Amino acid sequence: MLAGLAGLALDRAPPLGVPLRFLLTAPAFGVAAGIALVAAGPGAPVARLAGSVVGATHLFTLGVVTMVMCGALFQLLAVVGGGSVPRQRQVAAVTHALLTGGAAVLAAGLILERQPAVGVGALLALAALMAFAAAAGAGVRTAARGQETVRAMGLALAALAVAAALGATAALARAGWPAPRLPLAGHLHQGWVLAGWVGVLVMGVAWQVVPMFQMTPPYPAWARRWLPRAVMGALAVWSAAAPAALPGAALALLPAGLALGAFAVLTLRLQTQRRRRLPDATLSAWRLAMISLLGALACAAPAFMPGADPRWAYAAGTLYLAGFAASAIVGMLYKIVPFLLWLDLHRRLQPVPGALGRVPHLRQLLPETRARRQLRLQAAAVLLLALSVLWPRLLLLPAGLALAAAWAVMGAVMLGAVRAHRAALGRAVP
Amino acid sequence: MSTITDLLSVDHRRCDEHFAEAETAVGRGDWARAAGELAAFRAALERHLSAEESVLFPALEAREPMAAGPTGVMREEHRHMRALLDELARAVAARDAESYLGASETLLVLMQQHNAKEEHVLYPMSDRVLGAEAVAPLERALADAQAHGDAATG
Repeated sequence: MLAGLAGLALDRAPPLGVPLRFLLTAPAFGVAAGIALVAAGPGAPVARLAGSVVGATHLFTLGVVTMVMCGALFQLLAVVGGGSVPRQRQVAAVTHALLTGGAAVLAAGLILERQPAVGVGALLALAALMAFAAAAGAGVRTAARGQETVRAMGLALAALAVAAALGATAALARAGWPAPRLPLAGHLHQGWVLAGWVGVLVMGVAWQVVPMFQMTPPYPAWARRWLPRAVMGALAVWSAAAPAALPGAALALLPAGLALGAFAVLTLRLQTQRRRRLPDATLSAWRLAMISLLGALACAAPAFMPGADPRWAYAAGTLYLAGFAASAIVGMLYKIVPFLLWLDLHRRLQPVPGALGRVPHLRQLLPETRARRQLRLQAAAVLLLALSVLWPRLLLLPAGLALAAAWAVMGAVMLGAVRAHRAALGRAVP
Repeated sequence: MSTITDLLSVDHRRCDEHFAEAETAVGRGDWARAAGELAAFRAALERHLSAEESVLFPALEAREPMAAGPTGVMREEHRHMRALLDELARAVAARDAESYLGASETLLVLMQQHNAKEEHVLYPMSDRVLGAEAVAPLERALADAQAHGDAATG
């Protein structure tokens, strides 16, 4: 290929089914995670590492957060860098099937304490994530250079591979299967998933979508360049220091915490300078995400103190995943899902005379009122989950149910959009 | 402006300003202002699309025949944008805020993802392939269209 055109895949955007299968699968796992949390019972906040709680957590991290982030990456890579995942249809089909199976079997094994299922589920998830990280990593290398969003995607994919390897090691040890002995594998796994995979990817996506959808000024160049690197560097140092039991090893994570905090503050500040002044569900969802991130960081600091109350770590993890990651994700889904459907309608109806004039617009595919309703449930779930740490007997049940309800409604909202897409196709091509 | 990327990226922001002003006016129910802002947005966007279609894309396609795929996608998205601009104009004429905001949300997402592809991929590639000498004709095309637009509206 000519040097000037390397990486240019603007005409190779993924077909609808590639991202959509991931996005449409997530709500079922969100509902399952809420129910699994209720089943884990009010002891959850003090028994974060019990099988029932780890199982519920993995329904959410693998089934919701990672599921959506993988699906969205196929699309975003094409938009922000003109890159494309090689053999994207096959990669999507295989990784989606493996990830869905892996998340379900692993979580079931953890919750029901069936060790063989823990081992099998972990291996399926490992295969899914390694295959995805390799394929998407190859996609990143085809993308235009010099872009901080694309660089952050590459870093996040590296973190995903490390996280998956550490997680599988911890799971196989839990299952009693032969596995390399890595001290603190489970502990390190959490850091690489949360700060590395989720934190760095959300940052990279934010560099692009926050200025784009809200018409804010861009993030400062120093932030785009250094915040993801600070997180990755801190994780690397911590991963070397913690297993060696060096005193104060947890302090190595401080730059990661500060970088994530700076990211949240910058985002909230940029949002106040937005030129688009109308209320917008995505904007509100991202605000909730950033406030949750600050809350999670505030709870994470005491969690690292020696002899800390285990509820600090539980609160930090809950706010990070259900508050920060999930709110950023639903905010993106409100825009990505109807846009992908709209784009597909245009592609398909192009040859049909007069049909393009009748293509429903984004808010007809996914009405803002429905997005707002979903967001209210999402916010209620975050608040209840946070408060349930203090009063688990009273609030864990409603918190789990609110989480399940928020994702049930997200599923209904997305299916409604898919139905409107089908109806528009049916009207145009009887 | 020293590069195609700088020139056209700044022009994207100029279009965004008018887009946001028009949408805000519709949100407030200020239809007179909305009509004016929409006209300004439409003129700015049309000027930008025309400059790309008449100057940048042909130059790029002449130098690199393989660019026809990506520029084809860009031209198609320009067509969708123009159709949405028509919808916005109809909604303002009918004072139909719901239709306006639906179409403007669609245009926003389409336009922003389109701009991202151009600013990160197509423009830097144009700078590499066409070099600095392509900047002046583009500047002229933007200025000519503006003068023409001012004459037409003035």
